[in-house]
Parts: sequence; structure tokens; C-alpha cells
Amino acid sequence: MKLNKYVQGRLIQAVPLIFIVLTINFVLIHSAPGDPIHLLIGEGGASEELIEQTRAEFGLDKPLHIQYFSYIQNVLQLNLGYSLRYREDVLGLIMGRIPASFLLMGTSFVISSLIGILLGLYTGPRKDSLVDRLSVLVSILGYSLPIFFLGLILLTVFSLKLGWFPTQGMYNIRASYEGWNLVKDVLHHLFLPAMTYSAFQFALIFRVTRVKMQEVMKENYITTARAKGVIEKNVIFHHAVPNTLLPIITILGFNFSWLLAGSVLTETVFAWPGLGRLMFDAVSARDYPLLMGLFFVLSTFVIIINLLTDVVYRMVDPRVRLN
Amino acid sequence: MVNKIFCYISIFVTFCFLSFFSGTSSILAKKSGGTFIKVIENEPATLDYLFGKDFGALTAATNFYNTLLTYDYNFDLHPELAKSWEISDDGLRYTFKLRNDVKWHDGKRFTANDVEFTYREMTCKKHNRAKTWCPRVESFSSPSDDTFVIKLKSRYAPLLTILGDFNTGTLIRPKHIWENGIDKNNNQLYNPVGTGPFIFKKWVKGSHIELVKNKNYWKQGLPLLDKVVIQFLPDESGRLAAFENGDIDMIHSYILPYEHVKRFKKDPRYQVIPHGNEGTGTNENLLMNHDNKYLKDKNVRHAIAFALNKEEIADAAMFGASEPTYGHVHPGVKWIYFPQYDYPQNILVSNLLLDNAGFKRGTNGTRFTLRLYYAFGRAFEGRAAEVVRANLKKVGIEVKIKSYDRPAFIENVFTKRNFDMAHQLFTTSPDPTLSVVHRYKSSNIGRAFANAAGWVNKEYDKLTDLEVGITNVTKRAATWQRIQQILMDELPGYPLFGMPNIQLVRAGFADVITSPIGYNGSLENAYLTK
Repeated sequence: MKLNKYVQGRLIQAVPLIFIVLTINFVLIHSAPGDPIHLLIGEGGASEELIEQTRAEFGLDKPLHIQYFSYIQNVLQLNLGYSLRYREDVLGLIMGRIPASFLLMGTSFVISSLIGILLGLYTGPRKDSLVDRLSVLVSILGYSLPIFFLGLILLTVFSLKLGWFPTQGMYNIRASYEGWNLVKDVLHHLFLPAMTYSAFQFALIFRVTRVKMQEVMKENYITTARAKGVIEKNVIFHHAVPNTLLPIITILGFNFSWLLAGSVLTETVFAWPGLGRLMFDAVSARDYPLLMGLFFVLSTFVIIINLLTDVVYRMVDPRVRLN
Repeated sequence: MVNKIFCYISIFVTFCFLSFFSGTSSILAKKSGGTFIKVIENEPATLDYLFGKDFGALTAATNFYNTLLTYDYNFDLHPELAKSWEISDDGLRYTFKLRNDVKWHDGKRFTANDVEFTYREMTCKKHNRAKTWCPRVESFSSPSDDTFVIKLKSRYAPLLTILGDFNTGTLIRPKHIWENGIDKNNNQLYNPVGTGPFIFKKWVKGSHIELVKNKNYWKQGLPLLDKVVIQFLPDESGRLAAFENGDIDMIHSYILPYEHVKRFKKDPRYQVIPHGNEGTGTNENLLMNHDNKYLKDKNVRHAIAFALNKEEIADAAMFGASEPTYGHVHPGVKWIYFPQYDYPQNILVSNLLLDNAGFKRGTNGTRFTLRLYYAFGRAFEGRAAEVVRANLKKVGIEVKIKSYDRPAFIENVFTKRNFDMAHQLFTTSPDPTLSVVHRYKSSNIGRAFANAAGWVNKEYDKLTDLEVGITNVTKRAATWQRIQQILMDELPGYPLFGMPNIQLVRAGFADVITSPIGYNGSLENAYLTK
């Protein structure tokens, strides 16, 4: 099958998938206990008229199936609705948070992938060396410590005790830097959340790369290559590395899809103004349109990443292409 | 002789000169400039607080709007945008003389039309607390630019306190900005124009709101700070780290790290200010559902009250930062605080009451089981719940504790009322009509933050309707004594402890808290001392 045709086929499959996801999101969100109007109007014994008026203003007085159909109709026109809490366009709200989130996610993804893969490739053939043991220790910690806990440890050590990094935010509010100074300031603020965020992903990618590398090094074709007198460097780069790539691609895709889930906790601990925080606030306010908008964007994101992973797989592995 | 007189005059002049400067030295010493960063838990939804729940919006709004009048720690009223006011002999007509030197941030003059518009079109139509007082108003009018009149249908004692309390939605908004509704860019919600000490500059979504000094503020010499920043930090540990690191300057009483208060008191880098919440007087209560088969028996409710050790509960919940409260009104509201109807812990009496009510202990020592709910995110309520459980176990009542996130908690406790007991904070100040009455009215069963108990008491309903018309303070207090006696006897809820009346501020600032609602009030008096 040609690549183009394959992608087309997958895209067609993605459309019903997105609709199923939209429906599940709608049902799940609306079946969570809690009334957004009570959270919006709050305490103080508001009058019945005010409560009903507000409910009608946001269309929450209509039967659920009507709300569902009008929601699907709006999504088809790429209209994600109007946030109950912020009284703003949902798409605008989400787009506004994407730069901060992508900066944090992108940095963490690149750092964790680079270090994870390189260390995995390096330690694979060097089992039980000092670097190997240290890397395994760090990866176990990264894998097992909950993100918020790791964040707090880093915060206490590097911000409070050593004073090397700021405790929260994306830049120094008191100083109001501009230009190059602002860039430096943002990087300074980015360091701890990015480290926290990278830890889990690093652990995963490092361990998979390392184990696969160890497996590959025991394969017959490696022994054959060595027997043919190929120098060790070439054995690793030409014979071992290409064969460890496949699981790495799977894990990269997996990590990418999970980026946002981790961001809720990291962004909350470090007060990073991204999508994770927006989601946290939307859940607390039962902001239905915003939550559904966020889930829609996320689901689409995951579907696209899966598709990309499969495409890359086909490009890298001739066996998948042939099938 | 002339020389002598001259000498006396010189001494007198020198004395006057010196005393003038020594008297004003405190003013001269107040330094201008600096940025003050105040932290709030959640990002506000918009910058208008049409719905009073938006704490964040209000924290910002008090810095760019003003009220007509304000009150001090004794709840005595003082002029703000109104210079003076008169009440007619029949108590029905309130005439306010307004300042004529006040301008909105866009340069337009502030007039009585703005006040009339705010109260009639915004507060009374949109604010959640409006139901308490707006139906009593016959008309709002502005006979001239600097005269504003409220005519009432019947006497209403708490009117001026309500107008002085920004929590009731009475910050004055500009008519010329709002009269055509919200424009398509939502400018009214996101670019507010006020009369207050600070001007809105920007809102960085997900991070903070920045306000800058209003150089033309109508109060001479104020504000002193250059910039006020309101930052949103949802995580408790993150907030604490930011405060200790000097990244933020204030944590208000509702989000204090209570377990650290003792440490901060001893540390010269911080100030623990014992003010700023008198105007809310928030109590922690144990709500009881009167539809529960055990709790519908008054003896059981009394037995529960007798079984609890409030000192132990307050200590565990707030690490010594709070005191127990013995009435349905916070101790800070002195004129109607009646602690004599409380139930001091007495396990013997509690057991007797339960025995007499017919709920004997089973073979495992348990009489029955009750569920106790609290809202997720309020760890202090969780700690209080553990002590309640331990206390009630002694009298044979098993307690199952469960926490829900806030939306689910509201639904379970207030609207669906599928609960037995629940922890809930209720404000009781600045006036009980505003903050206490609706919590227990029979007409408010099934509504958020109101009558969760499902309690119906005709005398309570009647007395609370009557008390607002009593303008004599002593007579009104007597009525409130009876109201509280009924509440404590019937126990739709049992008051446990008051929220700590303290704010955490970094050293190096003064006059940060100058009013009983200073926890989220204006920072116009605050200044740098270093």
C-alpha cells in the first residue's frame, strides 16, 4: 500500500473515532456531579430568577440531547463554544495557553528523549558499568516518584535551600524584563518545571532503549558482524542502533500523547500558565464547554500523534510496509 | 520687655515648627514606590464580580473601584465616594451627598448617575446577595450630579453597612462604560475603568493581573505603591515556597499555611497581622441533615453537640491559629455574640441523651453510623472531621468521612441533600441579616450554601423577617439573641471554630491591612518601609 493511500485511510478512520470521543466526553462531563451555575453564582442565597436567567443565558436549561446535538453541530463548524466561567470563546482560551504549554512540553520532550535515547544506547552494551548503574537509579526515581512530589523536592532543594531557581511562574513579575533579558528570565523559570516534567518520560525512554539495546547486542547478526571483523563502533551504529529504533518510536509517541496529562500537576505546582492549569480550573468550575473543548483538542492531538507514529513506523520498518 | 516677647514668640514659632514636622513625620516617612504581590488561589473568571463568588475578581476590583461609604473595625461608617448622608425621621429616605472631585480612570467625572446605575441595573439585577436588600428599595434616584437618594418601602437597619461592604456588589461602576451592555470585545469584563487607587494595566492569563498607581486619585497623597500584582497560585506548597522565597508578599487568611503560622510569628522576615477578617466573621460549622432518621431527633443533635470537644477540633484543624466559637455569629461581631447557648463537652450527658432517645449500643458498642462530608481542598476540614469522628466514637456513633470536590459537595449537601453531616464555612459578618438569615430560612431548602439541614422553624422565619425593621441597636440585638437561642437549641448546624483572623505579609511593608475586610480589600494605604 502506498503511503499516501495509507494516510488517507487512517484519516477516514479518525473521523468516526473523534465523534465517539466527543460523545464520550459529553456524557462523562455532564454526568459528573455538580452544577456549574451554583459555582458561578455562588453563595449568598441568590434568587431563583437569577439562577434560571443564568442557566438560560448559557443554554443549560435545554434538554441534554438538544445540548448534545447543538454541541456536535457547533464542533462541525469548528466552534467549540463559549466558556461559562471566563465568558470567552473556548478556542481562543485554548490557543492563548498553547504557547506556554508547548514551551514546557516541547522542552521536556526534547530533553528527556535526547538524554534518554543517548544514555540508553550508551549503557546498553555497557551493562553494570558506573554510568549504567547511576542512570538506572535516576530512572527508577523518575519513574516511581509522583510528579507533584518530585516537583516539591526540586523546589525545596534548588529554590528554597540553594536559591538557584525561582519558585513559580513563567517570568519575574516584579522586574518586568524585556528582549534578551526576558528570554533568559523565562529559561531560568523553565528549568525546574521542565526537569520535573522530563523525569518520567526520561525514565521510560531510557529503560526501553537500554533493554532493547541489550537484547539486540545478543542477536546473531551482531555476532556475525563482529566475526566478519566489523569494528565495534560500526557494529553499534550500523547494526544495533537501527534495530532498537522501533520500540523507541513507540515510546516517543506514547510520551507525546501523555504530555498533557502530566502538565496538570507540573503546571499547578510551578504555577506555569499553560493548558494543564486551564484544565484544572475548568474541572473545578464544571465549565462544560471549556472542558469539552480541551478534551476535543487533546483527543485530536493524540489521534494525530498515533497516526504520525504509525507513518514513521512504516518509513523505518520495511516489514510493516510490506504487510 | 520687647526682647522677652520676641523671645517667647520665637520659642513658640520654633515649637510649632518642630511639632508640625514631628506630627507629620509619619506621613513624610511613608515611602512611595514599590510593587506589592498578593496571591490568590484561583484565577478570576472575569474582572467584574456580578456574581459575588468570584473572590479573585473582587480582590482586584477593590483596588480599582470604590464604594459609597466604608466601615471600620467597630463597624462604624465612614465617607468614601459619599461625603455625607442623612436619614429621614421615618427611616425611609437616605440622601447621600457625593464628592464632586472624583474622576473615572478615563477622565470622565463621577456623578450620582453612576451610583444609581450601579445599584439599580447591576447590583440589584445580577448580584447573588441582592435578594436580601433590593426588594426593600422603592426607588433609587439622582436629583443632581452630587446627590443620590434611596427610598425604602419599609425601615431596613443594615442598609448602610450593606452599601459599605464590597462583598455585596456595591463597588460603583461607570454608567458610561456599562449602559450599553457588554461589547463584543468584553471590554467591560476585561478592561475595567474605575475611580479607585490603582488602574488596571494587564491580565496575563493563567499567571497574574497587574495594576498601576492612579496618579490622579481623589484621596490626596495616595496610593503609595507603584504597582499591585495579583498572582494566581493554586498549589498550597508552591504558594508557601514562593512566599518564603520572597516571590510574593501576602497570603490572605483563607489560604494560610496554618501549620506554619507559629514559625512565621517568630521570624522577623514576616508579619502576622491579626486583622482583616472582622467584616466576614467566618465560622466553621457542622451541618446536620434533619431528614436523617437519627438526626431528626433533637436529642440526638444535642447529644452530638455534647460529645464534641471544640478546643480539640479547632486545635487539630488550625494548629492553634484559631479559637472555638460558641454561637452562630463570629465572636468578632460583638454586639450580637451570645456564647451562652453552647454545649460544653459532656460525654455522660451525651450518652444519656442517646440512651433515652432509644438508640442503645449494639454488641460492638456502636449505636448507629453517620456520614460526614467535607469539600476536597480544605485540609483543615478533614483534620476537624477526624476529631469529630474520635469524639463521637466515645458515645457510640460511628462516623464515615468522605470528601468530594466542591461541585459534587454542593450537589450532595445543598441541592440533593444526600448527606448526614457536613463541614461548611459560613460568613456571619458584617451584618447577620446579610450573612446568617438565609442559611436557615425554610424557603431556602435545596439551594446552594443555604438551608442544607432542611430545617423548618416558623419562629425563626418570623423573627428574621421582623428584625431588619428594628433600627434601635439594643432592641435588634435582643431579637438576635432569641434567634441564636433558637438556632442553638434546634441545631440545623453546630458552630465549631472561627476562621483565623490573620494575614501573612512579608516584612518591609506597612498598612497593608487597614480595614475589617482587608483580606481582599484595597491596598491604597500600603507602603514600603525599607
